[in-house]
Amino acid sequence: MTTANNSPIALAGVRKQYGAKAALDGVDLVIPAGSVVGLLGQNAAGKTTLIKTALGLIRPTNGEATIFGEPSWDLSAATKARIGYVPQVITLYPWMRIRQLIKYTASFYPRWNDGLVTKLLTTWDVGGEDKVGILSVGTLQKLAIVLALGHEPDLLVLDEPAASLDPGARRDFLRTLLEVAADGRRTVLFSTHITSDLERVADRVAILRAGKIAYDGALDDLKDSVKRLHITATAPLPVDLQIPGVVKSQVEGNEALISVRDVSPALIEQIRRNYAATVGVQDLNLEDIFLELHHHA
Amino acid sequence: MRNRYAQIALTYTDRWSMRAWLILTAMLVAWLALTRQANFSERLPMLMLGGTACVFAATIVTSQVKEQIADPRSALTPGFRTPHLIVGGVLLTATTLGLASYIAWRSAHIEGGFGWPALRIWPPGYVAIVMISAAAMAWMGYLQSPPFIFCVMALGAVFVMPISEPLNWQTISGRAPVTACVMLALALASLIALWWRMALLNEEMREYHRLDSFSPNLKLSMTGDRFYRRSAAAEVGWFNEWLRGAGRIDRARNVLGASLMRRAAHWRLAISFARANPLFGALFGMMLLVMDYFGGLHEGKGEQGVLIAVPILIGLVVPMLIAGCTWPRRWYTLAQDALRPATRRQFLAEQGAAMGWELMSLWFWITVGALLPTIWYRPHWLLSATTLAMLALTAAEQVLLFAVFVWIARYRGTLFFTWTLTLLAVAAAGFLFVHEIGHADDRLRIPSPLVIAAVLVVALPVLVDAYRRWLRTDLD
Amino acid sequence: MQPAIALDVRPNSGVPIYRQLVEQLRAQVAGRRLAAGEFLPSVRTVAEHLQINPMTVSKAYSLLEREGVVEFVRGQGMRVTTQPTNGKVRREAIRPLLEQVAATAKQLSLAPEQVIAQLKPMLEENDDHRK
Repeated sequence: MTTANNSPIALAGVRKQYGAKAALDGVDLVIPAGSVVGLLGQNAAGKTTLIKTALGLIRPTNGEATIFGEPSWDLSAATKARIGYVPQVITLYPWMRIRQLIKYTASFYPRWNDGLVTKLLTTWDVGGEDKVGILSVGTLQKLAIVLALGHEPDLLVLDEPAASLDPGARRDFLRTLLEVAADGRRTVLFSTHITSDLERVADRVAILRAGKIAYDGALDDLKDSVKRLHITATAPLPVDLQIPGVVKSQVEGNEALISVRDVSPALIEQIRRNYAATVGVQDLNLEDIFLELHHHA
Repeated sequence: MRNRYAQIALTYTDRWSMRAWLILTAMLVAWLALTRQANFSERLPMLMLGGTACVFAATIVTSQVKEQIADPRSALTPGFRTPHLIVGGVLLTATTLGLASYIAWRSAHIEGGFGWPALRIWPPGYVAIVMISAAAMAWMGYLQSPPFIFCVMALGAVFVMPISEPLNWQTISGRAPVTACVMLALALASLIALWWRMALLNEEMREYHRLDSFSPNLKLSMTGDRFYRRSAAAEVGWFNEWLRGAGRIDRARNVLGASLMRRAAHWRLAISFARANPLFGALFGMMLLVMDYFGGLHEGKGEQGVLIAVPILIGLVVPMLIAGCTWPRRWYTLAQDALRPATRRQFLAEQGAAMGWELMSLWFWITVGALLPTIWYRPHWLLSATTLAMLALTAAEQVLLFAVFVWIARYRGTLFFTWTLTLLAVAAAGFLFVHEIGHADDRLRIPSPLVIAAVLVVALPVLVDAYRRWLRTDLD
Repeated sequence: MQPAIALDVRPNSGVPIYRQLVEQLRAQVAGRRLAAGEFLPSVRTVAEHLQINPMTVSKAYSLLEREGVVEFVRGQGMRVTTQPTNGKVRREAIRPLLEQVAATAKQLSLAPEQVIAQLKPMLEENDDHRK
């Protein structure tokens, strides 16, 4: 077996067709053990479908999804015990009290960290006697996160985990994620469209665009390689600037703003010489990069 | 703004149920308009069909108005609620009061024939009976609360039972004008009260969130993920907690790697209304005891049909109807439950076992409950071959109904879709039962063991096929 | 001085967090605010203080180790080495910032003298402040 086969999540050529529309259109993605991966994508890019397919809740039309080397669709009990999952739409048994729901959830697992669960509930001010059905969306999300961490999973999958949390709770959540999850032993995959959360926590980023993986790699590499160049020439620049790896370009007279995928000193030098121009290099944060990559949609 | 009223009225034509209703009602009205004189055997079905049409219209119109009102837009958009209520009110009046009056007026005199006596219909009496039914259905469609629906069903059953027949005929023929007027007044008042409640409807009221029986997809797209959570919020009362037996969870033990039946029992902690099943049985028992008392059973008048066939038929039909209402709620938590440590095969087998167990429990309690009058008045009938064979037949039919439901459920359609198909299956099962016991000369036939075996032979492959299909079904 | 407190990263900047850390620590060593023989705060401390992924901190530390700015001492952590902090290292540390200043100055068509004239009082003021 190769390492890719044993990685926490591996998708190979995964397609999911709903009628005429392909929600996933040939996704290849390997999530290395111990990494914290942010899955970034616009609404309806297929993030939830990808996550559900990876977990074996959805059956791919083509391709293969595996978790720790096992086909997602046929996971063993032992492997399921290593997964923690917080869905985007959280529906828990509404009539149970929180303490009952925790007890009930724990009863399915080989081990359960009561200390951690109690600590998190206290930190987040979630009371055990409340009934699940009357909780606010934010509290419900906290509860779902606690439930997903209770059995200390090796793989934690969160679909838009912080979307319904207020800024304070989001900070707490990210801190918890870092303390509990990002200790290098666990693997975390979380989808989001809030790039600032991802930048703090994730070491890798996968960008999903229209059912395909548009980028998959280290977040640092992405920030190092995608830059915006501010070109100022002495003469008017041609509208169709020939620069390799252009993501987005905007030319006006002597000036141009060009976003490139793989910046290098050689590339900048080449532009300087070709257009007798000065080149300013501007760093882009993840949100900028995300927007640039989605520019010519 | 006149245009606006027309627009609102047009929303009703979007519903296939309303379109079907319109076509059928148009045919009925045409028939009524074209025939001058009609005899009893022709006109009586028309009276019943017409009444049913009015009652259905009440449900359709009310649910449509509620769907429009129970929405954030109705509170936020200026001038939204009043026109919607007016259009709905006008349509409701036309399709119930208007249609019923027309039918009654056209059927005022029915000639005798084919051995039936001539009958004079007193229009207000007929309208009163139709309107009280329509009002009950309108409130049912609006509240969508299981206890309320259950009570209405129970009252409705009394209404159509032989013991109510004299009262009904007196009302319809005009010999009980006061009763008719009281009924009509009650019906109209309750409909006005319903519209008044809808005028005030807001998110603090529980029924606001109960909408999923009609078009959950539409509501989901309107309100997003909060919808299911909120509709679930209607489930958190103390009564619900008691029915569910929530306290048992505190004593739950770890079930990792436990046997199929132990895990099925564990799942039932979360999905069944444990205490409701005996309660349903007790309710049916009390209801039948009261009715049978007034029917003169205590004076020794009972026949086998009332004391054996009817209770066992109730036990056959009711469990699946109740389960069909509660089980679809299961879908909401299916994804996370499917990720608990167990293989897909184990998980599906456990869910199937839990649901099958639940259905059998309902069948047991409701049958026992419905047989209470028999236990009280004629205990020696219980152990007859006829009774035992009938019980065997309905038990076998439960297996078939379960198999059919599991097969249908795989599509995870709207509740309406699931209910309709379930209802058809239940009706077919009831028909088979009635056909098997046929009761010429007040004597019940013993259902053939071959038929019982045949039901099981059909049920098992359906069940196996349903399981195989579920193995390939997305559990998201 | 507690170096972890002096660190400050902006996760939503275009510069990867690990590089922000490397640059700040390098500057602290070069400016002798972190003396030779002192230990860097533990990875966990920094990660918790800044609320960032511990792996990012590890990455920054191992980069500094490769550069010879710090060395790993078993059981104790990262210790600042006794390297000759010559002018070259310190000049390298400030170079990326100066490059940015130069680029912006060109965009604004500012003459070199103008920029230097503006920068000089700032440098002197900072100097006073540090003493």
